[in-house]
Amino acid sequence: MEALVFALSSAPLLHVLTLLTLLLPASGSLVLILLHVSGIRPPERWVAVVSGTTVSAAAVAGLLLALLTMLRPTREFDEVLWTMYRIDGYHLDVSIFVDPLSAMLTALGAAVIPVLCRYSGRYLHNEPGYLRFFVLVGVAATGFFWFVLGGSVDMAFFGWELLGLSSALLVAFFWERSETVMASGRVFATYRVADIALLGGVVLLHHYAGNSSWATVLGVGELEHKLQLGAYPATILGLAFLMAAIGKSAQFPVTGYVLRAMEGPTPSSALFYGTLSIHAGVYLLLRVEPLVAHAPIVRVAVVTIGLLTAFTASLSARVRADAKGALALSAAAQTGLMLVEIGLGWTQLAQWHLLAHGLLRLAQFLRSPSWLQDAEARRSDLGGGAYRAGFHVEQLLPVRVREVLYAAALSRFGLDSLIDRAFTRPLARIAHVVSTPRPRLRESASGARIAVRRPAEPRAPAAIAIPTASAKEQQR
Amino acid sequence: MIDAFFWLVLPIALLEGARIARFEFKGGERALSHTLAFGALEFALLAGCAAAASPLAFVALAAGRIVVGWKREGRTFGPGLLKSTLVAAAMLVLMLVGGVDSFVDLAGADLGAAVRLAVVLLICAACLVAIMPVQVADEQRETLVAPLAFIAFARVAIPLGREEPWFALLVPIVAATTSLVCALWLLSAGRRANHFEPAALVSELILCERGVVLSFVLLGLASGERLAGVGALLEWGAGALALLALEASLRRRPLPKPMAFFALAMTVSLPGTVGFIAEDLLAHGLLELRPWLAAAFVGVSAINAAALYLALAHIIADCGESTEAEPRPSFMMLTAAGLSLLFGLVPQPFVTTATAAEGVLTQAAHLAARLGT
Repeated sequence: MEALVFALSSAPLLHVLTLLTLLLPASGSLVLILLHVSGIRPPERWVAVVSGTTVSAAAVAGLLLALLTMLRPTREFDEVLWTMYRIDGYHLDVSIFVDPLSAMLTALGAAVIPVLCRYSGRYLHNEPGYLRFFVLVGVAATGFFWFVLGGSVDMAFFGWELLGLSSALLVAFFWERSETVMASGRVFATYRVADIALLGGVVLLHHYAGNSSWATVLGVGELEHKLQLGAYPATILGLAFLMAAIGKSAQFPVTGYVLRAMEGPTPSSALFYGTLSIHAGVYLLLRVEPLVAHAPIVRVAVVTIGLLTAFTASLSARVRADAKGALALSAAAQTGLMLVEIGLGWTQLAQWHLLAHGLLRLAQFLRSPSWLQDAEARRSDLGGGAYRAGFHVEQLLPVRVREVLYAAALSRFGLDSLIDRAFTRPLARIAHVVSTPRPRLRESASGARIAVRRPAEPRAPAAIAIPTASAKEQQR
Repeated sequence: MIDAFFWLVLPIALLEGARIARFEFKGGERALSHTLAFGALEFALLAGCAAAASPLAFVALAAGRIVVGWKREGRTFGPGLLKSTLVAAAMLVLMLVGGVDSFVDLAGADLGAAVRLAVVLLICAACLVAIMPVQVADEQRETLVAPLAFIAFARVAIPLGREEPWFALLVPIVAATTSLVCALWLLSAGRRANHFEPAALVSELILCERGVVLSFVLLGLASGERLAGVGALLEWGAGALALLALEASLRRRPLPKPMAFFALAMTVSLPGTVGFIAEDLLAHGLLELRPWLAAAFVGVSAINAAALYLALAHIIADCGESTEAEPRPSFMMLTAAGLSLLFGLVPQPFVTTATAAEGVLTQAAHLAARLGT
């Protein structure tokens, strides 16, 4: 038996499984792209089969990889697959690192992605962007597996970017609607800030440690190595990674972008904002937890951000009128709680929380189109009667306080407008001032002056009836 | 001088030639043979400039390029003429006042401080003229990545500038500023997209993006750090590919949206494309040298990416819902995308060439510094 376990968890087999996990989803997308480029329009069934097969095969390989790695005595598999380039002493390695944490996330991705492909095959029937959706799901799966299995921050960054770009493009899935495209622009801009923070972390890690490998710099059991970084570099690095996590996991104060991201089709919302992308920031913080442990300032910041997100997002979710928006905000609130757990050092709890939450949210998102039907069915199963909203913590508060909180939650505590006022508008104003020496911009390509086509008039906001807590109670 | 730098510039010259041929061919007013001839001439002249060892040959080739441009377009292009004049003036000062007959002799030449300053300033001015976006109407007359000015910068300004204490500090600061200005112009254009014709917005996007790319190249080359220098040379090639892909996709109607988004990914240096390798090396190199410059670089990258996406979103929204089927990607678009992916996934040959080219430039610089002191 021991010999069998030894053979199964040998490095060559794990190596092959790694390559299959990392490359198969991309190969499926590549086949679909080549078909599109060559002018062949494959029927929907074939698109779903190609994508589903490659993604499912990668998922099986990923599951096996996770399982077999856990059979190894060290419960780790760390290998450099190849070196991308080398200049003098500087080199970029393509490496993987599997440990219980990445195995758990791989298992989550492996469980979720094939289910989602199967669901989307029917859900998106007759949509013009059917092929594009599956191409992007393949890219997202590739990004996710690279992110969780990457052996260094460089490799994680590679997956992180793929995940972000595919997510933004899927938000713009219905790109004939300008609102959708603009919403995806907001998502992309937020992700880009997170990307830059992570890139800063990568570069700083190389600068401080001369290496960005998880195993040698931050890995489990490498305490001496970790301590060499010192408190100051650990704080700087920790803050860079925290900033990246805030952007990716929709934490305070950028939580609002997940609502814009709901413009995408339901399967992509489930994939990114229920399961994979929203947890990427949590995974990153779990991965760099040894750094966080040596930086008290970062710990406090992580807990604070997590608490603020949990508070604001859960209240905002409570007053949302749409199912997907409420789910997205609830997911952000739960990831906020995961951050609190990480900040307090309860990493095991955070890991299990992440796994359970990811699976639950997937189910909830995928059922969200039939939410009302489900609620009615549930009510009739329980014998009918008035709908009961259940108990919420804030019901312990006085009615007046609750009303104020709900009213604030309707505008998401003014965070979106605060970000606009603090960053977006000043930047736009600076851009406007800087571009004044460029008056010829208003010319057409032919050089002739043209009239303004669409006067940029601010739209009057639609009147919104704000339901107060007392009004809700009266309705009940 | 058939050295590593020449081999690095050769693909850029090829892309410039291909762009000219494509522009002439799409205009539809010339026969295919003529468009190919103009493309080949542009390639040959730029390759000649990269290989030229003497300032005189460089000036002659630059003058030849202006004549060919005039013949092609029926008029001279003002900013192009200004750039060439500035570079030619620098070469003439080098040759007539400094007595330098060959770039190889730059290291041992006994140039006075004033001559050295004049030459470096003239070439830097040419680079700045090349970076700043021209009028929207002139977008298609502008080069892809300003090869002439940057060849002169690499061959002459870097060896001479190393002896100037201000060079490695002031030029990167100016480059960082111009990159920020170009990114902000793009952001401003994206926010006021309803003031533009879609075609004008495409031109503005390409011009501003070109300014950002070239600023990054100048920033890395002037910094004097090895990794940043290699990154800058890679950025030059990667930027040329990305700009070509943007142009090839955004000008088509109906808009090939998937390809437009892939061109965007190339421009924002998505991992897997060669731009990512360039950005990675630039950031690392700048951090080793001056962390605040690295911070400025990544900050401008973020603003640029957001601004680019905003502008692209407006272009897509302007196109509206089209009943026509999306066109297949053009050959140019596919070639640019394929090369970017190939060099991004297997970057070692490209990185080796860029490292050798950077070595050629800095060896000349080191020799110049040693002999100068």
